[in-house]
Amino acid sequence: MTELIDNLEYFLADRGIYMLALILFGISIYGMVCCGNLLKKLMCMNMMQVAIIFFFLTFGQKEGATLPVALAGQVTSPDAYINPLPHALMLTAIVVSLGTTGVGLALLMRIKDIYGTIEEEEITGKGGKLR
Amino acid sequence: MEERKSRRRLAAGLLLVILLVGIGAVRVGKFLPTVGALDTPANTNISQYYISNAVADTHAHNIVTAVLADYRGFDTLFETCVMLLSGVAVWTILSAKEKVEKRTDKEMIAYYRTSIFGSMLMDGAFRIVVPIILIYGMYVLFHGEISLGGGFQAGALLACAYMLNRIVPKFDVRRKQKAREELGIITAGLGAFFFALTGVLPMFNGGRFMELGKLPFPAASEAELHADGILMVEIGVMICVAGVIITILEVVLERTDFDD
Amino acid sequence: MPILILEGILLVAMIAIAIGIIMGRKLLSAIIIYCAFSLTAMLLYALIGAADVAFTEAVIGTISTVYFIIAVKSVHNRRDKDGRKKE
Repeated sequence: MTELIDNLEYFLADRGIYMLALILFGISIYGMVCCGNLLKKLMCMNMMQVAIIFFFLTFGQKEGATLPVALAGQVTSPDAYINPLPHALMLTAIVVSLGTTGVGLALLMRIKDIYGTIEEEEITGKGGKLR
Repeated sequence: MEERKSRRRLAAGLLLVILLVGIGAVRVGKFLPTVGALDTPANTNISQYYISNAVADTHAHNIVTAVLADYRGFDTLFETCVMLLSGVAVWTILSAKEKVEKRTDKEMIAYYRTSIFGSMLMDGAFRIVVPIILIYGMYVLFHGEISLGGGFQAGALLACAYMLNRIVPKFDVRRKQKAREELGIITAGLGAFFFALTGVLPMFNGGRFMELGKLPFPAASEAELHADGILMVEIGVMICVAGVIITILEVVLERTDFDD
Repeated sequence: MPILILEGILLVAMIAIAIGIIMGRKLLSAIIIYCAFSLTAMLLYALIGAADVAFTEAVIGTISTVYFIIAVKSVHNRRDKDGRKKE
């Protein structure tokens, strides 16, 4: 049993985490392309951003390290703290993702004003009543 | 029938995507570092300098805040500008067309009299939560250098309190909606301006743009000046983020009527 | 490092939630599931030591869920183009 857990951990650390993040990314891209509803496309875009942010954050992980909050005389070796650089970059990325969501919603509402629907098939006229 | 077929096609596509990406990602491990290793390129170069020197340089115990507001201030400045631009974009796009017809005052008052949660207790309960959120936002702002938090989170929390106050309850019925969103975008612009001003101030003292150690304030040491500069940067970011979120909320809310 | 196994479990849960969002029928339920997705993402960030990012994600996830709900409300209202009420 412990051997199985060890093997699983080795696999995850080697490539498993990246695989799972990439699968999440792929599913979100698929949803962005194939979902009929525009609001769902927007949600899939947000999910894709979460996958990318997680992928970035994995680079900052260190084994046996603690949170990057330190006191003045305390820092002995840099290896004792998690890498703060990806955190600082991704923090702004998350906030900007809210801005993109807002712009997307605004465009969505204009589309609703003009076409009267947010289903893609009805807008393009394939099998919809709006032809 | 038609719908079921399209749904089955969707599921088959999903399965195919998972299989393909999974198989493709097996090879990824060859050129990406092991998770948690100490000697990867991301963990060995400049980040070691940040961790070793951030506290002594800036008196900010939270290294993420030090990197965000001081070492990489340009990044944050332009991210704030992106945020402001997105607010302006939403405001421009959605104010292009005339709105849904406004209700008369009588209708509004009748609507605002109805309780939302169904009981007076629940309607009143949120009023206790709002000031607590505001205080917590201020705490997060001023302790951003010492513990977790910072300008972005504080701005979002303030906007959360505003949102709670705007959506749930029914007092101030008669204030005009138009003024609110314009106020929001003006506030956001002022926040970004405050940030940029913090960057310009050191130039009067012989420094360069965003060189926070040369701010023209009386202070004991250069690190203290850095701490002051980080606080000013965070106040600017907070105002900008809160203003943009409030603007988007107001503009989107104006097109919605909660009749049914 | 047993943290890695927890990370893997949370990632699998996120993939399941994503499939749920894509395959779901109703828009409002998809939005509520999206709220769960953002909560799981927050747990994941907190688990790998990015506490600041987790904090931001918690607040931003709430706000974007509110945006989506308002948008759904405004898109599905019962007025047509001229502002009249439909039956």
